[in-house]
Amino acid sequence: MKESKKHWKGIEEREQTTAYLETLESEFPEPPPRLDVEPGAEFPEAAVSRRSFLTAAGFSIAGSTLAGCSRGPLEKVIPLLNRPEEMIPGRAYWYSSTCRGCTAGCGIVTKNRDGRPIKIEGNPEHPLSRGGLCAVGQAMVLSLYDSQRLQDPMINGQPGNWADLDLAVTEGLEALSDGVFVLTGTVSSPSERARINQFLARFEGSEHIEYDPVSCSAILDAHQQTHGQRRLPHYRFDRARVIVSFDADFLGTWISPVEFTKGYSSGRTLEGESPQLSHHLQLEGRMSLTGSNADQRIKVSPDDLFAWLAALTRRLADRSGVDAPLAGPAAVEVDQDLLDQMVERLLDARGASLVVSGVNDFQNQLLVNFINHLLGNYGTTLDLDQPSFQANGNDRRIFELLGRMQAGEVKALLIAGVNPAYSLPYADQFTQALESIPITVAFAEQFDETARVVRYVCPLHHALEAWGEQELTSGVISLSQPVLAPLGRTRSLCQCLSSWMGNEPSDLERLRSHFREEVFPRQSKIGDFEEFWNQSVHDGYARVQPRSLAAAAFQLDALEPAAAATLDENSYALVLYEKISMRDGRHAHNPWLQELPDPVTKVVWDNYACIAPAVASRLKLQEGDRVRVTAGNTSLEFPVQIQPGQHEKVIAIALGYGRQGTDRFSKVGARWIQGKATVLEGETIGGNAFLYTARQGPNITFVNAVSLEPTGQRSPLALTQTHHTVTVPEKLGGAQRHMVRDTTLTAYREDPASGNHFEHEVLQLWDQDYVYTGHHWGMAIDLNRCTGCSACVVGCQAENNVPVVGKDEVYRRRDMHWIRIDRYYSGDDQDVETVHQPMMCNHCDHAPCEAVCPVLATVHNDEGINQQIYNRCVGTRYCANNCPYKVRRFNWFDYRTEDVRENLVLNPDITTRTRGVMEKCSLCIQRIQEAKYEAKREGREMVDGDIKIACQQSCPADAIVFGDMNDPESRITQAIDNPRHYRVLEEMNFRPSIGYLTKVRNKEDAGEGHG
Amino acid sequence: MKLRKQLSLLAAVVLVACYVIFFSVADLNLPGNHQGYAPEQPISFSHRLHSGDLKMSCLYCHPGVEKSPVAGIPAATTCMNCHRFVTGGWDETQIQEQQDQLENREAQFIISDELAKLYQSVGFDTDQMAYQEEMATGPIEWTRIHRLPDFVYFDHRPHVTAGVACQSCHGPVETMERVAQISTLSMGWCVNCHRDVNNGLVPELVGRVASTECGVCHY
Repeated sequence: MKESKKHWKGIEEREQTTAYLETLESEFPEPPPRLDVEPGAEFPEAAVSRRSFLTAAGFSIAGSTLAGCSRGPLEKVIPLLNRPEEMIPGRAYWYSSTCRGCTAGCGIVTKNRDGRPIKIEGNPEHPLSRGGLCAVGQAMVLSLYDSQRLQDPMINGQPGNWADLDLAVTEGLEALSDGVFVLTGTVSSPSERARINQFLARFEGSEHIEYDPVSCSAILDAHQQTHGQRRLPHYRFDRARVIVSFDADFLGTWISPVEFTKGYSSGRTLEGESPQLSHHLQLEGRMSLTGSNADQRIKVSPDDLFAWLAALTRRLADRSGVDAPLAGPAAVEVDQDLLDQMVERLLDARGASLVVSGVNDFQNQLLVNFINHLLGNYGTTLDLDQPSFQANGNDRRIFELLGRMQAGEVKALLIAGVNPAYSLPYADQFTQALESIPITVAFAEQFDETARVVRYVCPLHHALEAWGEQELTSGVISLSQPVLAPLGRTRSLCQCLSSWMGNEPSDLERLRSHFREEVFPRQSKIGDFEEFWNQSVHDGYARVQPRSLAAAAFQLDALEPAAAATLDENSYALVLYEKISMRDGRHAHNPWLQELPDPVTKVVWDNYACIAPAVASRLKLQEGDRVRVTAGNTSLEFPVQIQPGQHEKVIAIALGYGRQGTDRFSKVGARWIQGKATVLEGETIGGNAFLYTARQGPNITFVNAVSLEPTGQRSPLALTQTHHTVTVPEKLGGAQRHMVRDTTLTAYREDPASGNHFEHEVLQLWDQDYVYTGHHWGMAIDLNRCTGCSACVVGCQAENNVPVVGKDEVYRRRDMHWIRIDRYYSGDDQDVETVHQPMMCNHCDHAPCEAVCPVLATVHNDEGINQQIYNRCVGTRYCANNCPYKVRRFNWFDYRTEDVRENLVLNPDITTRTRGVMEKCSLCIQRIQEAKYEAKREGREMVDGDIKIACQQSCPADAIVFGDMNDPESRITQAIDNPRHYRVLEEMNFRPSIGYLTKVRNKEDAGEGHG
Repeated sequence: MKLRKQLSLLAAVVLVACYVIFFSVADLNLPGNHQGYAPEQPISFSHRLHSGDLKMSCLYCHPGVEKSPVAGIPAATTCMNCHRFVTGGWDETQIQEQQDQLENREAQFIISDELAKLYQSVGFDTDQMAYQEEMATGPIEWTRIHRLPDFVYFDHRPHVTAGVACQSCHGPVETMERVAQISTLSMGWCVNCHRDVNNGLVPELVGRVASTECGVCHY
């Protein structure tokens, strides 16, 4: 066997730096928390004195004795006054709805326990998202219980009531005959759009403007040019055999990531009836989640991206015998070999290839359209006749609006669901122009930047409190229903507009009449409207006849490419991107998302400037050193993060940070003498990178030329990437642990078990194995499908009451997530290949943790689950020390939520752990129990698929299989029989119940390759 | 000096007496064990009358027991299914009826004091014998008797489906005027029964398996 490939989690691990090796020495890299006082130093004032300690101790002993004598706590049990027949207290009820965490509109089902939603999951029957749900969608249930959500209307910055606000606004509007503008995000609901238009019809020259903070307006503009219709095609990644992406993060944040991940992973199936593995080529400057999954990744700085696109256009046109729509010669030469390979692959897959670009640049998108047209992809992998309505933002019109505001033509501006004072380029100009407008209204859930500068603030419902409907793609209508009564005195946008128009049908009535008139006639399956309506509410969606929206024939005149800006030696191309957690900043108040490690950088609670390792060594920067990033008048400081695989000329900064009001998290997590606040009062989490956005032609550009200047300051990043690592240091033999295994398609075709041959001696500690006679639960994770999107991390957190610990605790390696995604690189700094590996308790049959617990708090059950019994645990942490996978989490504190109302989201089927207790993945034992009880109640045997555990349910890529390994027919047994199946550290003979399937890259060469 | 000695002796005697009286009156249990707990309820509902004398099924009022982890406390409207018509006790009604006949007057309604609380909670106007929703004062707040610690998950479903009688754990509720906790509800008590089932010592559950794994209750 040849020398096996080396995988590493971070540069420090690959280099085996001294600091890194030191952290491997001890179980916990720092001593346990205690009151540390320097000799001779003053005892901290807040600390407990000896006297008060003794007093408290005396009282607590006496108190606990008395408590033992008492007759039980007086606890009330309050039944419903009038119980609906179908409602049984203590039972979970599921309602289908639509996620509004972004504009993609994935189908969801919410789990309601005794009237309150506690968990959101993907709706398996939804035509687009098909059961998947991203991290944001999972976390939406927490934002419902955010007590800082606006509860009451505000007038001129003061809390008010609806009567006053309605009166003031209607009086103001009555005086106007023109100049009324409504600014919203993408509106994919026809009924909402109709209501806005009805409202605006009273005013002359009024307009409804749609604006997406992270816009893909250029795609729509380009289709206006080439196909005569301003439309967003419905991308069909499931039909694509060759995917070429120019900086489009379609698995992470682009347009509809869950739907795209579903499609993408269905095209990458090595088993089953039609095995296929699409080829995915990514050209990008930063390291995106999508790029980390690509079969081939080409580092291209954003300036050269257009040159690549132009070269591809020319070569394809050449090969197809048509004229390339490009004037002039090529400005920049690109790697001809790579280009040739790309062209060959694309031409081989005519009609089954897909070229996408995430660059919001008109010319760039025109060329993409030309290429897709030339390859015959329209009608197959891009659907323009039944387009998508998931992003309608129009950059041109937002700039027109800004111009009109400055010219004083705008007399009333209603801003709904977007936050332009935060996210718009030249937001200061916008805010300034806003001051002179007589009527400014913001419809918002939070008291955000825009709500702070308008006259009237209307609090909006949370998505789980409102009725609604979205036509996501032509013919696919997704329905939202409220799953609880509004917690505040909030309204929906349509309710406000209706009441200001003088008629007040409820949202439900309005929606029903829309359905009766517009949707019901578009189908013929169900003849009765009531039946159709009930069915649609039950399903959460309706499929109806798509409207016939034929696009015009392709046409494109030759382009005069704009001269690319050239960067001098000291300037860099700044790439602004969305993180999967914060997106455009609207989720900044969600602690689950703030504490979700970024899938690539693995940093929490911050944004930062990603730089290439070469830049770091040239400027002598270390991770966490602060730099000043300057573009024109905008100059902000960020800590740096050193990102292998990033282009040397690129700096990448995440949008969505620096939101006003995020200092609320100064109180999150543990509070103790050495603890540092996650954020200081009056400051924000991260910096607002939207300030670097600018107008370029008609579009908002997310690329800018910047200079970089070290400041000499440091602010260490809370980085989880080498926490819980399983490397063996050189001095202990430096044995290679093949945690992740990958191979190439060529090698796989020769031998399906390639990349999975590791000879090792297996040591047996026990005389004989325990025989599992009943169920034997197990799980398998397909690394080839897993994209690292981290939906499972938040899904698990929501299901299992995993606390949020705050930035400082994460920095001290005390993050509490039961499932983590280990991200491994291989290769050098320049070109890395990435593997994402979800890691959680492996439920070893020979579990090392069980042998060392002095109180038998962690024991195996007869179904193969390694149980953790919280009420037995005394917190010795021996088990965590002995765990080879480093998946055990210790409650160093009682982690209080920053917001008490958030406790309503806790799952009542799970113990909430207290300080001093160890915890870890339980394989969702509460779900196993529930499924068993239900099967018992129905008097039947359990069948494969009865249990879906939380991480498995949320996975948009269907990478996780769970089931009974003793059932020969189950999907888990099939996965175990797969030659790609392996178990992590199997050479140690821990016999884990969790298995993995090797990753197979669609590459020709069996060796290291380009990567 | 002598007085002081006598006083301290007296104090000691009083202290011991207090201890003896306290412990004998308090009927102490181990911490967390609330066996015998029988708190007063807002309505002095009699299980003896309803499930004993009238032989009503437990499931009529506690339907969750088959479908949900918890048995549930009946909603006030469940009571109203009968008590829309039955407004007073049998004996009182009989006496009243005799009195009415004796005095040769129209039959009088009897509204028991306890049921009046129920009518108030649901907003039932006994003058009209009709619901006046705006009069409703809201659900009755019962005092909880059986309670397990937060780290224990007990589910009624498997027990009821297996055929465990309610009385096995809750005692002879049909004889109780006011419900008391009969069992200790301690872990030892649970596990002993599970072991007995596995050893075939529970006649009605022979052949069944009752798991004694930690994770069955603790998660």
